[in-house]
Amino acid sequence: MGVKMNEMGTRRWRNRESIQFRRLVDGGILYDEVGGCVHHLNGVAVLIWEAAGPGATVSEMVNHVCRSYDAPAAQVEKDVVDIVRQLSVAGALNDLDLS
Amino acid sequence: MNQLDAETLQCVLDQDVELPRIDRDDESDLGGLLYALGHHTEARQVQHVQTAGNNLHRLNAVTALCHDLARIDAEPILLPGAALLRLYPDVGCRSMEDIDLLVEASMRSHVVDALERYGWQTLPRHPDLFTRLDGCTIDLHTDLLNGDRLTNRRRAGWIEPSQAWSRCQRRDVAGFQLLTLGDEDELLVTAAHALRHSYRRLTWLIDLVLQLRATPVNGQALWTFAKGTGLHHQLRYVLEVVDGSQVSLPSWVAACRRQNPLPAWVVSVLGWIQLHRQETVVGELLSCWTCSSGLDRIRFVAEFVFPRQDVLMQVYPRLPPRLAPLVYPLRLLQIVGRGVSELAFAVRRR
Repeated sequence: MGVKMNEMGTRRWRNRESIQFRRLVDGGILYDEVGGCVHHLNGVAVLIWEAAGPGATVSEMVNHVCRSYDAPAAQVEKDVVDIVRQLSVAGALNDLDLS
Repeated sequence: MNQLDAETLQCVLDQDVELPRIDRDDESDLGGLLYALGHHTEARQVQHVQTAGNNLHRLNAVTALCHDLARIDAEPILLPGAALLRLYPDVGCRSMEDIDLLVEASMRSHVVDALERYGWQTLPRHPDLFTRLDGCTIDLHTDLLNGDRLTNRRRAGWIEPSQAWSRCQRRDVAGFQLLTLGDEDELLVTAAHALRHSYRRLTWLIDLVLQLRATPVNGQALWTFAKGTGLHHQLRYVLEVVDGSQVSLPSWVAACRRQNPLPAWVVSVLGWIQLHRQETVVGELLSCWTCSSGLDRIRFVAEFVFPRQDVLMQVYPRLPPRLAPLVYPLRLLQIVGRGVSELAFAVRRR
């Protein structure tokens, strides 16, 4: 896991263009107009999605989440990595390998 | 209005009373909205997300179609309810069975061609209803009040489509820029549609209240506009219903009720409709009764009871075309059965 986290940390992530986002009262929803798939996002995932709009690394996303929730980085890092991984597997985030 | 419906509307629209125990039909109608307003259950959460996904999927499909048609000046107008999604907290709060589009009669064939290109097909016997394998359904209209289905409907109030087109507005509906009706047209269409269906879904009343709150229209001007179209009865009835639920409304609503009192029999019929909104067709009959002359009322009721054969064949989808002449005797049986059932309700209630 640690290696994978490091790998993810070196990359810059950006929202895929064909994915539409709409805010919901308890988070948000992603709609893939190509595949017609829908993903429900919780509050943290919405922050990650917003951070990844212009492109962001995992540590930038962690900072963004920490600022919003007033929580220490160590507490949110694992959640952020998990969510980035899930969004990446779902094809919602593209990565630009910086290494 | 019965206490349960009034409390449900107050809970949803004013958030000042507890949510009462609602029945299954209302739960499936309002589940997404209730979740968004903080009445959390697992089922409502699922419904909220599913509704959001379905609505986004359908609006995407319709937006692609509309943009395509805009290139040949045939862009349709998104009718209520889909157009009213803009008034809700988010895209998961209002479920829709289909999406209603208004097209110009002269452009209908272009729209049908485009629908077929995008994979929609008409249902047998329903030339205006287009469905796709993904479950997306579009109902095409060339007027605002289904006047092509029952031609006498225009005697009970009518908005000339050409005038509605001249008043249409482009608005943001859940993030999509689409043509919608003008405020007054949208309000009257919602009121007429809700009455026609006996206020069966509470969503239609919520739609109306949200429109009243959001529309920067002066009450007197709206009333004058409604009288000009002949749809003032439908507007007055729905104001009676929503104001009776004691939700907060613009102050002109109470003034309008005072200045235009309803006959006692209409108040009683509206009360009956609200009590039996899930099963009654009295709303359609009352709608017929809003015609200005007695002869028009009789014509409209007669056409409602015995419409054209092609319209009636939609009511009996399994009846083979060669047995089409049987639709009228079948309809008579249906009317008698319906009448007995509604009378039985009345007697049981007494």
